[in-house]
Amino acid sequence: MNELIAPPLPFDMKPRAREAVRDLKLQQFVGSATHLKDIHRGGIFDRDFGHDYDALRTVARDTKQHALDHLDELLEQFIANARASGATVHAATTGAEACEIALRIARAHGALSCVKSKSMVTEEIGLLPAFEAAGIKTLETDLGEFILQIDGDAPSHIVTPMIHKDRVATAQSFVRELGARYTEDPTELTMIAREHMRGLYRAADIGVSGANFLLADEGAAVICTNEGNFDLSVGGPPVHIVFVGIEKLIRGARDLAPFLKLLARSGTAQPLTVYTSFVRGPRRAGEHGGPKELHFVLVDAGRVGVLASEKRDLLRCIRCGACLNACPVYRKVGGHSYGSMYAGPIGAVLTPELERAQAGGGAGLANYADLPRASSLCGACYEVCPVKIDIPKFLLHDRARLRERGLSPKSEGAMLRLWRWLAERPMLFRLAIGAARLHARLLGQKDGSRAWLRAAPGPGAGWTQSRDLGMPTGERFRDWFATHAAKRDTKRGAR
Amino acid sequence: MTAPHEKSRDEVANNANERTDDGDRAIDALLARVRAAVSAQPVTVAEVPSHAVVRRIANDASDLAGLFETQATAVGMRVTRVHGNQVGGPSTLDAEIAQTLARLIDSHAGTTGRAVVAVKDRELARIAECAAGARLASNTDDDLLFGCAVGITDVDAAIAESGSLVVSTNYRIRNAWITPPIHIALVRESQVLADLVDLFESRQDALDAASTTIITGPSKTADIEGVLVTGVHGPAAVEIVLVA
Ligand code: SF4
Repeated sequence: MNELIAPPLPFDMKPRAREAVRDLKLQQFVGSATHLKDIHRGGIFDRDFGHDYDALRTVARDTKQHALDHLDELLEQFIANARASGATVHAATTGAEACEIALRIARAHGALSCVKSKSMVTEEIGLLPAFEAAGIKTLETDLGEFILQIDGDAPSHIVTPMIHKDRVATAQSFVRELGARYTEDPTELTMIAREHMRGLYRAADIGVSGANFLLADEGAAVICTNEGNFDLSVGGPPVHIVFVGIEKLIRGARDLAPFLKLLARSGTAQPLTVYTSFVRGPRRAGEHGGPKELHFVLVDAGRVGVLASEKRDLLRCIRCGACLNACPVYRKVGGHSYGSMYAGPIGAVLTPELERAQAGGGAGLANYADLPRASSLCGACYEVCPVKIDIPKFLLHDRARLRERGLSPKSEGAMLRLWRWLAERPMLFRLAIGAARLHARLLGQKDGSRAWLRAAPGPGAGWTQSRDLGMPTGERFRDWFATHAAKRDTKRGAR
Repeated sequence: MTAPHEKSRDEVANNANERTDDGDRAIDALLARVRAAVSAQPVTVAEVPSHAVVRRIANDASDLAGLFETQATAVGMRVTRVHGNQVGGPSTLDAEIAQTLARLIDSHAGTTGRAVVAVKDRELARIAECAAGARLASNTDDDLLFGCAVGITDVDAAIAESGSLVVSTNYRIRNAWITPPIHIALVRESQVLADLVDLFESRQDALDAASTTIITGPSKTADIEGVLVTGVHGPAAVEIVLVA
């Protein structure tokens, strides 16, 4: 598996984050792209739902939570209905088991080539390495995933996997790997990839995909793409396998509309993704095209454990990517700093939890002790989440667990104790702030813009190892408050 | 592709039988664990909430066709409206549809490009086949689909709110709307639903097929530096002929 998203454990986030922060190109791409996406997301919800936006999210939250609270019933219905439409259903407790099932199907058909459309769960279970080891040549058909694949790179964002890469890197790998002529034009690059893949769709022995939703009533899967690569990978090969986490189940199409409307708007500011595709069983008699065999592999890989825990809410996630785009930490450190295919705020809580809940039981938080602290707790992720997952609450919960288990760094406790001690002593507090202001001025910040201390002395040293310390500059809050209080009093007096 | 299949057919059957018991056991085990997990936490939501707030467009909104045109255009598709009363145009609605189709096929496929017709509606199918004329793809194997310049389909429904087309494999060649570089869709105004919610509430039949796709724009990607490119895997252009 790619170490970028499946690093050796325990995982140390700091070296990766440090490197990312120094990478000016990455800072520019990821920073500006996520910022724009966040603005567009806000814009389309304002335009289309206005004041109803919050009510819509509440509906989505409750609908998905209801599904999780009744997942056993939905699962039974799904299995019965999928079988009734001619599909074969498999269950996998671990990622390895899921891969084994797929290999068995592939072997039974003598499959040597596979076309795959984008799926997070196949990244999670390591399907590609398993296929490659078995000699099955697999093509990632999502353009971003394809470029990452030929570069030996890994996705760094749930929705826009190659957000950390630019056109120059793409141009170079197309020359190197595809023998294409050099061009930096995104349209030309896209057309090169299109032509390269067309023939491969037709020749592939097997198709593989994930799913965004499973419908219990219909026994169907729903797959959302913008490129249309899913439809081509399911339409050509004689066999198709859908890998899907069990948390994707909802009652049926009758509950689907809120999620489709929220997913595309939250992720890419579209009213719907370009293709919302329903797969309901294999090709029927008299039909032209489509797989002769359709398999669903229902993946646990820790999900059942999360369902049983107080973190059930996390399974509501529809992988829209909005919390990544809104997160000031993700924007700075990029996706690979999280050591998982699930980056950003949701990744920070989900990755350790899924690892803990694996069959056999991982060390969870102890393996990912940096993740709960990779947040400023600003709450932006909660505000943008279409299914209202209270991510900050879970981050705090995890931090408390880390402290209980003595896994928080010493510097954190020391710094907080120092802060508390100062805050209880007004004279000393003022003196310390005064000293800090003086220091900020010596650093050259006379204009009131924010100054940052990158390496604090004494007990603060540990604190600034993984974050800069904001220095007080400009007007003091006390003075600001006094002036405004006076103004307010004058106004009131005048009335 | 055929050789390995033929050889392994027996193997497939054997494997399938051999694995069924194991497969059933695994599913039963999963169900048992999910049952235990579900009851490990209290139920927090007893009822699925009403989805009233999800709907943006009321069923009785006036001029759904107009709204559909606006929204479909906003997501990058082109709409041509056909009323059958074009001044100086052909005298009947059918003739006007045929003329519009012929013009669109000409502009995208030239005189030699092939056009595949995957139209369920008998009437529209006949018109489309006429319009394609000599360019009509004569058989429908996959190779031909990949060789076509234009895919012509009708739809099961259209959605005004998002400007979407709903197309299923029910009596239509699968992926005729994805594989060729241009998709021409024939939509009757009476097929336009107000909101996505209506599709799932009152047009369940549209989801009966082995595969149904809701199309909202031409195939798109912004993977390379966020620059929008159309036609990455599916069609670069979608032409809608909206028939009164
Ligand atoms: S946690 Fe919420 S915002 Fe983040 S990806 Fe999941 S659904 Fe989207």
